Amino acid sequence: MEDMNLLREERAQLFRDIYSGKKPKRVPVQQSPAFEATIQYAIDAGVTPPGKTRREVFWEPDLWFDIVDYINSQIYSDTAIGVGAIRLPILYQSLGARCIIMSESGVMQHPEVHCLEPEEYDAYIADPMTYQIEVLLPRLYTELDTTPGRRAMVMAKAMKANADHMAKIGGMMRQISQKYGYPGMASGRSTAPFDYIADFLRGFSRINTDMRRCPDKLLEACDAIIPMMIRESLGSDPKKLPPNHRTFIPLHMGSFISTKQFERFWYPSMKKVMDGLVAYGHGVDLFVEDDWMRHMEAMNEFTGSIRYQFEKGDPVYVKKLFTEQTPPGSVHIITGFYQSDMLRYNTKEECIDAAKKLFDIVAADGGYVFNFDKGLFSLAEPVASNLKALSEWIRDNAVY
Amino acid sequence: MEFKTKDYYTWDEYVKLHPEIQEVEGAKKIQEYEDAVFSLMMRLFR
Amino acid sequence: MDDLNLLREERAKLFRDVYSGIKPKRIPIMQSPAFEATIEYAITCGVTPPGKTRRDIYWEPDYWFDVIDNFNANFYSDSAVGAGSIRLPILYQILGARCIQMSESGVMQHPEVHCLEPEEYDDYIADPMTYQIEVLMPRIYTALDTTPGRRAMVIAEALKANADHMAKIGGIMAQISKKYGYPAAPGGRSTAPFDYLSDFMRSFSRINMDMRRCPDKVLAACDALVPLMIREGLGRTPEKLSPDYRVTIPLHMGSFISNKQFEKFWFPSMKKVMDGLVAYGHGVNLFVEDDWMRHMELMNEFTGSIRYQFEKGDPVYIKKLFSENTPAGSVHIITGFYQADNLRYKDEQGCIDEAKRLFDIVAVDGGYVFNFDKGLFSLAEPVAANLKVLSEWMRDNCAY
Repeated sequence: MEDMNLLREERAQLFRDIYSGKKPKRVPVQQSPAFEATIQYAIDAGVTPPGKTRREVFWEPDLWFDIVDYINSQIYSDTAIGVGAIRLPILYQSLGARCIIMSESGVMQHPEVHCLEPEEYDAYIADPMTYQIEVLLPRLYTELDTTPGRRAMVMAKAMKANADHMAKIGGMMRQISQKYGYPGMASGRSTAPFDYIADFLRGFSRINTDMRRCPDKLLEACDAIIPMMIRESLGSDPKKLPPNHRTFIPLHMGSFISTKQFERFWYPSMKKVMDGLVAYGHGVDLFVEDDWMRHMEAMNEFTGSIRYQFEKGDPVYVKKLFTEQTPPGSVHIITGFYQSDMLRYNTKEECIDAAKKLFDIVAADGGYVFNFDKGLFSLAEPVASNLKALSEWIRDNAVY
Repeated sequence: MEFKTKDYYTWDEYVKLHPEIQEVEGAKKIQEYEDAVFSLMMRLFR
Repeated sequence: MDDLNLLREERAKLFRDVYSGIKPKRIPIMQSPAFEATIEYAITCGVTPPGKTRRDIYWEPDYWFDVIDNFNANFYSDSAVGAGSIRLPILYQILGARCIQMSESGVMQHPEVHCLEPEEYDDYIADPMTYQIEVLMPRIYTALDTTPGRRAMVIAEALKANADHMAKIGGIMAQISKKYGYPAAPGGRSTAPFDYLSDFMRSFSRINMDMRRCPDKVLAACDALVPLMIREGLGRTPEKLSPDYRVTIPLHMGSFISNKQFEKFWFPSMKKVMDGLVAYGHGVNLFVEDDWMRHMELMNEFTGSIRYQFEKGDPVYIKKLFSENTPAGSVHIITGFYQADNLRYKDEQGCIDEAKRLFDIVAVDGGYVFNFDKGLFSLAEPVAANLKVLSEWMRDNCAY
């Protein structure tokens, strides 16, 4: 028990150091496999009752502790490995979601949908939250497309189901953290305004049309949701948040738009969101999906303690940019860049060599948290063995 | 003595409308939440 | 711990015996003070933080354990004393209730309201639940009288607040039962159809007019409510309930209506509800508010294990009626009849003498559970002192 407390404190110190710009004792190791992968890994290891499919397990929270416990017992990480950014099937099923659907094989999918029509921009801009709740929700969530009374019942049911399941996950993760000596992590979620409009409201293809046909409306819409985006992560009383609260934001549309579009449509409202999120001294963790290298000069203007998880791009360029041009007083941390495909196609030694090569670039003098380029979507061999060897090698050898 | 109402669904009625989850055991938990709302709706008139 | 388990088992057996028509070892003692009284008593005892009013405490569940524990520590009872049939202020506040309001002094009140108009009877009868949810709720819960989206949010908030607070109370009562060795007392709630229709839908004064002007509609509405009332009492899977499960029903309108009205309007639908509630072998606890003596021949026709708590009336008549005319195979148990006012106006010996006198009538050969004629609404001295002495005297002297 004493050892666990020491381990927890050591790990907490690694992250405190790195997020405040100090060189940590060693490269911190983070793992964030998709919950689908964690479930499958447990099924393959015989941890779940025989015959249970991934889809079934996704629906049965009583089985989740064993699943999550199993991966944490097998794979080294300095932070708890949990259920990821889980989409609860009971929530989306209760709501009759069109936008999030579980496949036969038990993968949560996001079919392209839209719910906002171009002629509705003005009404949306006037009060985005109300417009979403009153008009848009029933279009995305078919069970809400009913009489007002029934709609209220469905909403209440969905909220209670969501709250109960999230509380269950919270309790489970506290147990896991206690068992393995993981440090406490406080975090919220937010979204870039342009991504928020593009993903569920207008859809990927329609947003492109809007940038040409009604650019001003689109910009106004992005501006209109800034306060909501800040509020989503920091809550109603940011002063009461713990100092280690960090906002997680998966970024989406940047890799699909030009530098010009990025500067005009994506960046300005997002900059305001970022400024708001760090206004009380909290950090932000960005997941930079795909390749955003062409936007990185603008992205480097974010202030505060910002961690960027990179999927693709040039680590040499990013390290140089962060080292030389990060705004004074700010800390920009790199994570990712390690291609998860390495684990599928290479030997243990090759996986370790790739880490060495990458760390020589990105981890010099700190500023790097190990994680993959994206959440592992499968742990099927040789991935699991390689992952085990690689994680332990990093823990034992990536010391400053 | 079962009652029929438009604003409340039993699991059997629900899966008729959503056959895609009829064999998913865990999905039956939706009924518990439907029941939780039902109880509150009744409570609010006494 | 072993002693507590023995005590719990002894108490459980007292109730099992009395509810199945067996003479128990001694008269079981129940206490059911109003939560208001329990809070006030805790304030008087200095159990709550100085300066907190009854109204404050009603809003702050974190104090409820101490409040409830204080009552249970001071007064002997064979069943756990909890928050009574508490009306949570947060629930009614979120909903903007017109029908349940908290007074300045911290008492939950039920102003006369109605929400169903006479010309709506047909729609109501066609589907009472849907009509309540879609049309009637916003009329008595003003926060629901809004747009469909906002209404859904309010219901979701209310459900969550209610569930959280009820879970909190559940946790408190589990602790209390463990600490004092109380037996489990699983149970549900239901209502007589005519009362349900009178109390919130049509109101006391309007239901009287309806009995004259549209008697058939009233009868049809009562009949339409029968399945809902059974469902509320037993839930969706009655066959899975504990055999000790009992449904509590506070009765209301009987004392205000004539024999003829009772036979025509109140009794027939209620008889069906009662038959439904006992169909799986569970019991029913009726609280017979005020004086129902003129209706008791019909009331004695209920079958199953039925406990009647009497406020006013003739205990000699009831004991004789229950002893001689209870339907074959059924068990009718008396509780109540002990005037709570005795505790205010008599000395300790006077209170005990009253109990002796009453028990000589109602407790002969079992068939009686001690409780007051109604929930104590104040424990201000000399009530508390008398209550303590009386309860302990009964525990020690009422063995058969």
